[in-house]
Amino acid sequence: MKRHLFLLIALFSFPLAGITQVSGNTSDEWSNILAADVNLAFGPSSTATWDPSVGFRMQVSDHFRVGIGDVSFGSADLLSGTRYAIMGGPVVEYLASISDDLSYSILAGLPFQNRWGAGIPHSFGTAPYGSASVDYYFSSVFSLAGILRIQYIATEAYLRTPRILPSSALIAAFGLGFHFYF
Amino acid sequence: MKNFFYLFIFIFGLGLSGCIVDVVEQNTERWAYANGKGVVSVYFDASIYREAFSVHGSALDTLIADGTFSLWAPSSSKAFSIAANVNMFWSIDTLHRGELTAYSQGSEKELLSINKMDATIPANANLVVITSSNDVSVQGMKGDINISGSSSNINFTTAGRMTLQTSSGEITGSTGLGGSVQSTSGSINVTLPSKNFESVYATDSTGNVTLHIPSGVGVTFRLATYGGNISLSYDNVKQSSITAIQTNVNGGGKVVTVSTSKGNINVSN
Repeated sequence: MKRHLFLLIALFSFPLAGITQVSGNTSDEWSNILAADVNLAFGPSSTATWDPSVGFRMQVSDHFRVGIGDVSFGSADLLSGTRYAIMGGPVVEYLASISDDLSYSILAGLPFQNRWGAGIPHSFGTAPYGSASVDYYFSSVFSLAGILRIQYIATEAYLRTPRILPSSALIAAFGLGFHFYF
Repeated sequence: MKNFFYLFIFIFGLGLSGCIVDVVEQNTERWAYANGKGVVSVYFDASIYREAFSVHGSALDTLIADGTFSLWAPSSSKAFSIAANVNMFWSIDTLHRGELTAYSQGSEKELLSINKMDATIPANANLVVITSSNDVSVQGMKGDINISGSSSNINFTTAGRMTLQTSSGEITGSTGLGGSVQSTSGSINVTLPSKNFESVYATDSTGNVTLHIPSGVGVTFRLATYGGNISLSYDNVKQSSITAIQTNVNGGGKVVTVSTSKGNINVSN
């Protein structure tokens, strides 16, 4: 049941995006974006798991950006030592304006992860996600974003500092984004 | 009106978020026991322990470890099967060095971690602990102890020498033979209960350093700071300074060296 939360939010959000695309007023000043995001979600025993990352997205039309996101490094202390991971993957973003200094976006990403260390062979993982964010523009080159993100662990395991999550775990995270435009 | 609607959706979503679901946590406990007769030193890599780590010195020649393991699994049944594969044992090499090893068989060992560990070792053995951010407690030891961490708080008692190092953690304890202790921003509070100590070297950056030394010992004090205050109150000598104090008390002899950048230095009986 809980796993359907992602679909529920996606179905609920995309019609809103469509409405705004028609009636909204997309700014001509939107451009390529360099993003530094961090999101937080609590696991069992209130364990805080963090996922800081950077990304780059290129504007390809009034309402779409594509690029690379979730470029990140993480680690987790395991029974046999410290396990490390690097990750990153393609992202697609739909964006629309709310007002002169507010915009929102819907983003889908597919980060791939390579893990090593702790005496365990290399392994790969992926965890597709969808996120919704609202950006407040402090200037034409910088905005601060509030982010909601739903992520699903599609492979056997996926490292999210400071733990490794098992297959089929669902992460509902909130975060902050520091977005720079150029 | 439209903006309020978006705001409502955003806040509603925010309320739902911040959690990981479909993950089950299970804790399991393991014991390890070995004959510690003839063991000269014991080594722990405590950097992989998620919570506190404690070592107790014992008059018996035994090595005992009590570990609590944590695993995150997709279901309770899966967690149970993973927990069944956890093992822990002591190994003693040809140089009589003891080391604790925990391991798991099976492909799911990525999901396992060690929450906390309590160990009992022969008090006369030397102890080496490498850690990162978890707190370390060492009590009842008679051998030398060597502990290095980054943001760990270190609490210790040994009749032997100390070699302690941390960055932001606080160091508190007593040593019979002295030794060196180093922190960056954490305070240092060391007591020397015995007159038989050899020398003491303590250094800190922004943390305060407090030393308690038994009276009646010939000591050469070398105390220096750049931005802190120094207070020396030992036997009949009372001095204070904002730069440095170098003096012999009771004829001098055993060297006590303390230096800080901004932290205060306080040395007394």
